[in-house]
Amino acid sequence: MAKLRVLLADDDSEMLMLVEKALHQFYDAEVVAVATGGELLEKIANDGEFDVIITDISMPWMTGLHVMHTARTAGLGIPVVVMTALRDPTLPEQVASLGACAELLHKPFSIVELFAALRRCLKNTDHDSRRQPGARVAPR
Amino acid sequence: MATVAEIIHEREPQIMKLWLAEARAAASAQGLSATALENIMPMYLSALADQSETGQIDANDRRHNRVQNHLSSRIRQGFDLGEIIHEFVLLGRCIAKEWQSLPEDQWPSPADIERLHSQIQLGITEVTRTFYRHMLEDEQSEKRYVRQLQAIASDALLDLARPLRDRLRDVLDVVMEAMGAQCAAYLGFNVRDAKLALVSCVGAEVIEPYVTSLDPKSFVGEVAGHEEATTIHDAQSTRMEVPALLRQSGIHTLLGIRLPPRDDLIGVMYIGITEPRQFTPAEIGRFEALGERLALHLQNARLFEALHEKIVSLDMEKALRERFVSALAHDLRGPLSAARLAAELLAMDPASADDRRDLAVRIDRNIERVDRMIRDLLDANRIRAGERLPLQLDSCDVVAIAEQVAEEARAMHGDRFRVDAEGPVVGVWSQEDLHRALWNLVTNAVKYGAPEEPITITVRHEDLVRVSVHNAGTPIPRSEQHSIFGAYSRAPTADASARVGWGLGLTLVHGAAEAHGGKVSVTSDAESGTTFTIELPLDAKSARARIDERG
Repeated sequence: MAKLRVLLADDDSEMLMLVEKALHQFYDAEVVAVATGGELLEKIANDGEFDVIITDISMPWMTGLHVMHTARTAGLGIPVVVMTALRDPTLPEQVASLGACAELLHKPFSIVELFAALRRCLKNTDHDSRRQPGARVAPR
Repeated sequence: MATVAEIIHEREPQIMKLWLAEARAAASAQGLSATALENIMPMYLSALADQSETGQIDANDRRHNRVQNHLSSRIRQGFDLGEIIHEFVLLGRCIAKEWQSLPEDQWPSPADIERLHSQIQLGITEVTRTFYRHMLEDEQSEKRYVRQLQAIASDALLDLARPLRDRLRDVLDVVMEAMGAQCAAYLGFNVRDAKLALVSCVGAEVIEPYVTSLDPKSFVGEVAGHEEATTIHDAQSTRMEVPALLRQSGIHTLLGIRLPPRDDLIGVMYIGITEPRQFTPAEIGRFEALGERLALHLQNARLFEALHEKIVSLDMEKALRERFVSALAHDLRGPLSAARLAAELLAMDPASADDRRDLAVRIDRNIERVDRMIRDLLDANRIRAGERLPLQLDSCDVVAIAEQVAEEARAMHGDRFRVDAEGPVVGVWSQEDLHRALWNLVTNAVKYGAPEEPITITVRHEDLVRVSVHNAGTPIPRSEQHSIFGAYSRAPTADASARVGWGLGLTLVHGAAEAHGGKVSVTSDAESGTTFTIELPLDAKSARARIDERG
């Protein structure tokens, strides 16, 4: 089976590197990392298919949510995990409006929480359950 | 042998001083100024001396009017009849004390003393009679009108949307009815240009813009210059300046008062009647009472307005602070998230030592990021409180700092950063604070400048050292340029962008420049882009010493 292909977006380079590292380590995923909303949109449009998008909300030029709404309007139903350090009470509703395969993840999150969100997102897709991360994830 | 008249003439200041000291003991006199307490007493005292000289006891019109005015004023000040009478008795006693300090052969004759007592007794009788008349006539009507003014004022506090001009028209309607007048007007005093301007008027006078100075050549200027009411008997022929339309309106007699009678001028109110006649003391008293009440309401309205403005500004500050705290929490969660993920990955015992070291370094780096944010916050608060940033001044090269910032920015944001400088520019500065200032300017240029376009740090050394950061892109509107260095302020155009921020970056730049004895400025337009320039003296230590010397 093909590798899990992840499009990862965050303007915090540390977060970008560490999430990418975790995805490599436990999912053996192929990760394309970008740091702005503009790049995220460009990759969605031009860089082939992704199994899942993991994106931050607050990024220069375009928020992750804005990009995902644009993608949905264009008919792209890619599963998405929306990461954020914001505590806006309207966020769950905004993320829910992206459809069933959209998950909201509040920073700071643990690796277990990240993978749980990823699993929920990938449910009913080719990567459902067959891509469980290894048992090396430390229990919380 | 001295006469009562001589004793009063020679010892008037002592008599008034003694009277003031004793009169002040009355409960209703508490809180009144010396001028307000004296009121007509010095004039009344000199009238007593006059009657002693002429030997006649009478109640001529002038004295009668004074006593009536005094009574009206005391009633408004809350004196009861007993206290008002006591003031007259006291005056007699104070005069007597003055001659009793002399040898007995110099005391006034018994007939002279008797005349003084009779004159004072006459004053007391007049006060008592007038008081009861006032009670019957004025209490009903005056209180009714005062109550109406109160209702208008209370309404005004509940409905702030209705303009003051309209409110005052309601007030003037009440005053006009209370006084049986045909017109009434209110002119507000503007402290900035020291002018009186017509705010509202009702009745015969057609509204016209009317602005005048406090010069007594105008009727309202004259009114503003006096505590007591001022009257003009013929508005049509007076040589005083009056509004042109008023002169042609058929109004003859004008009565104006200063608001308030004493203390800082708020405005002037006048009424006009078509009859060419004098206003009675009772009418003047009523007009003054209404004026005092209006002045009080206007003062309250001003206080209320100031309070309202304060509440609005506190609400805005609260909203800014809430937004700031939310941005702060957001930004702190970034490095906390990274440190947490790194710690978890480290706990999973990575196989390679390099990986372990890398994760440990990342934890350390992210904790350092949190610490830097807290330092920024504390420094911005210090700047906001007007304190100077404490700097570690040492010899350093600002070109090297610029190169380092550009290098770090390249690592994070790609190869867009240029440094335009020649050779090292060494001065006495704080390396850490200049680094932070330049970093903030560069990251701002990334956030708000045109994406992909070069960002240039330029260093020039002429009379001063100028370090500037330039980016292309949407300019900062001129209206926002003056306020962007304030703490917790983000320009509205910055708010419209997707990026959240603390709004402290430029405050810290400003604080660093000032602490070095320099300054920061911005130029921004669509054609040439945005340039922030920090001007620095070559030696911040001696520049600061010079500033401190100048105080």
